[in-house]
Amino acid sequence: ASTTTTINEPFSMPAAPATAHSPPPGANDPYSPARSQALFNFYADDDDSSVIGPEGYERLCTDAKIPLEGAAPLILAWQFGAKEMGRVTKDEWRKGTESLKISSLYAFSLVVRDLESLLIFGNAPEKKAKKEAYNKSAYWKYCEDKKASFRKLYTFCFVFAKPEQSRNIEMETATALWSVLLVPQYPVMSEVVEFINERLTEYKAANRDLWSMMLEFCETVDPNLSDYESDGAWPTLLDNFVLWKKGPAATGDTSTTD
Amino acid sequence: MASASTRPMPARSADLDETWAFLNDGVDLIMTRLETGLSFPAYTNLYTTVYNYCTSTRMSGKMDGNRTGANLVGSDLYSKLSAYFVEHFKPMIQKCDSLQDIDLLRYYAAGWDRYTTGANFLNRLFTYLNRYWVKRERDEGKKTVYPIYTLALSQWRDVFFRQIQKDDRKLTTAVLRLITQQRNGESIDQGLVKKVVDSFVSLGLDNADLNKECLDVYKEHLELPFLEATEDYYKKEADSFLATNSVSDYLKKVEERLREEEDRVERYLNTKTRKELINKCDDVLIRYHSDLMWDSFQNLLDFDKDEDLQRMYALLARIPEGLEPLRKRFEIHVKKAGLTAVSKLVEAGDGGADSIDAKAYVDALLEAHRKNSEIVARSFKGEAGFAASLDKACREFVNRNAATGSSSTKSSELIAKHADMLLRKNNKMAEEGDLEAALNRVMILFKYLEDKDVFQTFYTTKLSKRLIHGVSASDESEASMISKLKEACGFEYTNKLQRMFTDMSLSKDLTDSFKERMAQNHDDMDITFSIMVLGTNFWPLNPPPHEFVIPIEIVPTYDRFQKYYQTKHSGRKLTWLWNYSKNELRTNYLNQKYILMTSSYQMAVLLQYNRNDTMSLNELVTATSITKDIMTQVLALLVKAKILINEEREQYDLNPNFKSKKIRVNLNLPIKADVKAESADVLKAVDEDRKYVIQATIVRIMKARKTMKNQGLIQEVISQISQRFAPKIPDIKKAIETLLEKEYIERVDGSKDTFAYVA
Repeated sequence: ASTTTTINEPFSMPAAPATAHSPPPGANDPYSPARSQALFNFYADDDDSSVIGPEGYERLCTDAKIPLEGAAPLILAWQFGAKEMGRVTKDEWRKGTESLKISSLYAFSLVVRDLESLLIFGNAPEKKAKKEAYNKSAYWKYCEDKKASFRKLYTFCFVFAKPEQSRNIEMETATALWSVLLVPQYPVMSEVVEFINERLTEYKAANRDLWSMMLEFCETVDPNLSDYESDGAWPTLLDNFVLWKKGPAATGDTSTTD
Repeated sequence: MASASTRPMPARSADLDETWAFLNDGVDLIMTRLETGLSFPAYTNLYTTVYNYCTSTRMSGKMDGNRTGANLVGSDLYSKLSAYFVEHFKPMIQKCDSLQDIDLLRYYAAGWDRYTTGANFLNRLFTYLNRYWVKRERDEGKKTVYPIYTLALSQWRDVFFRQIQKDDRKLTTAVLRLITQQRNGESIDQGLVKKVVDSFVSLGLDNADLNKECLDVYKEHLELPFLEATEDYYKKEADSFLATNSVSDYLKKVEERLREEEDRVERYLNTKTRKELINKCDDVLIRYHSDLMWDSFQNLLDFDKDEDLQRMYALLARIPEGLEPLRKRFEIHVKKAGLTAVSKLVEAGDGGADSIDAKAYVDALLEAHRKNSEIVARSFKGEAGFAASLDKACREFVNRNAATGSSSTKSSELIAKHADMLLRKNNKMAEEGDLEAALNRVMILFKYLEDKDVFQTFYTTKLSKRLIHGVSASDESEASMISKLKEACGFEYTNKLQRMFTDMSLSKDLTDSFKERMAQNHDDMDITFSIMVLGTNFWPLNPPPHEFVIPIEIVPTYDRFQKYYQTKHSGRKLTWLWNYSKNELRTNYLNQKYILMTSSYQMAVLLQYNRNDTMSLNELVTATSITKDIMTQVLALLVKAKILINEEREQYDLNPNFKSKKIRVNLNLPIKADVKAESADVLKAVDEDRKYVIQATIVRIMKARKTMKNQGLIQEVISQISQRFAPKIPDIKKAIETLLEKEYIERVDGSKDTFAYVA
């Protein structure tokens, strides 16, 4: 259980009070490797200065006004190519900030907000401006195929959330991730998540297949489930969800519809 | 003869009038008074006259080179003859006007006989005309010119027959009336009818090919009206018969009627009529009343009316749609019979479905099967459709009935239990043959079991008990049953069972060789010892779930065997199944020496009293490591048998005054908890096994096919496994998910419902 809570931290813990510490130096200055390095050092772990730990990561997000509850921390981790939840190594930081040309909290929040708007909420791409606050070449690439880009983020999240030695992620983690990744664009997922959360003793873990089929389900099946093929190759979890959703008897609802 | 010679034979050169005048007399004699006789010279004269006339060359001047005289002059004679027939019929027509029914038929038939006989004579008389003039005319396309016999027939038809039939088809009516009379049970002159009917057939002429049978007259004047009359007659008869008689009687009636009609065709109708007549009868007698028959079917089944069922089957089999409703009803009937038999049994028992007796259960199922399979064989001639209905119904009630409730495994359990009872020593089967027959009957039900794997697991468990407790009736019967199972389900199904027998015989040898070795090396072996070494993978046996302190009395033997076995098979691990072992103890503390037959747990307890006269429950538990709950049950049995006395709470004393009528006292009775736990264990094992079987099957299929669609894969899995049990689709899908997770298979990119084998 203890691992579960730490895994959940980046997006389920309440924001730390802003007064807890003073803002880092050079918060709004343009990119320079030195500034990036300084920023890293500012949030680096007290015990291990080569890594930003969960606490530092949370402070970074809070200071940059990146909300901890949504997909934003995940997007940031994705952009860094982070290997573990709530941890950014020095090397990941250097590579990530260099290619995005970011070294200020403002730029950080801009990167995350742009991607969140584009991929999580499915909004139209930003208009190109003459002068950008950071290197947007990656962003324009994502715009070319939003679906494929989202799939990259989505697939990243499975590997990211999965303990290295395991094939699966715990179901509570999976539903938390689906809530922030899929629910905004696919409201039906809030019901799926609710369905699963009521049956956590039955569904203990999500494997890679379930993870990828869940996105497939969102992308291809009509939200009213009318075209769901119950004899298709869907995971049994989704079969059971659809059965529960469609069968009035199975819902345990006492009010009958005639 | 006199009349034929009144005129002299005309000269060779005689003209038509003269010639015909001579011929006319002869023709008339042949046609009207042949019975008065015609001498050979007279006949020859007539023949010669025809010949002379036909070959006279009087008119050869008019002919062109190709034609001989006969070709032309034949026409005159032909016309004269035609005209003669018309005259000939005049008095006959008149006579017929005044005749009806049988009189008419008699007159007609007599006339027909005389006429056709005469016409045959004429045909020969005019051979020359036929051979040349008629042939040439027909060759040139004049198909309405006939040889003389045919001419006679066609004249009969056109002039005489049509005249009689003109208004109300007097002949047809008369024939049909006779047939009706016969159907009503009166006897009629069938020869007369046949003659008349045959004449109708003869009157059909195919102008293009006179040798070809032509039934148009027969069809128009007899067959069609006959079929109509038949329909009419049987419609009325069926309705009125059914109004006052049972369906059973009706079936008999129809059977009789159909036979009669077949006979009728044989006796006096043209065989070509058979098909339509039978169709008509099938229609009117069977198809029109098939609803009624279908509805009465249940009643016949309920009252075991075998013969009526046979009849109904035979009759309805005549119409294509006739049997299917029976098959469906039969299936429902059989299913109900099976279900009712079991329900009665459950109601009769006092413990409900749980305490149902396996033998009574099997007998009830078998009886339902036997009775109905006999019906299929006897009343439905073993017809495949009915056999299928029987099988379907049996599969239903054998797997799901009042005794099974919602459990899909109960039936397998009960049938396996029954088989166990049969194969035990005390089965009360008088003869070997009886046992064999009883096992064959078990196989009848086995065939219908859906969850053959559950049966297998129960059977294996029961067999293991029979073998380790030495209570099997005979090796032959065991082998016979296994070979039956093997025949039904294949080698794999019985592999474990056969391995168990191998272990048994190896164990016997091992015990012997161990004894021999011990006899050589030690002289203190006063414990008779025998061992069974059973392969872990083949025997459904679990070691005790707790420690067991081996009593010091048997430790030497235990150690010696351990050592002996390790030298024989180094590296093999022996797990001692104390919970299945048994012992015999000799009492030395009583006046009478008894032999106590015990379980190893009882032995461990009793041996404690070699050193103590009284022991507490806790002391016993500590001394043996047997868990408290099992210990309590072990002690309860010993107290009940009065070996131990339990006067104080949790305190057990050896009874110094133990007495028994028998010298050998069997204390080794099953502990209740064991029995109950057994079923649950079996079912759990089955469940686990199924998961494995499904996964293994998927892997096997995928390995062979490389890629497969979800649907196809599921179907293939079902078809491969259904021999052993009916896999549920969600279970198959779960197995697929497990294999995806373990990366034995993967989804094919771009086609999410296709799986590929990962090598």
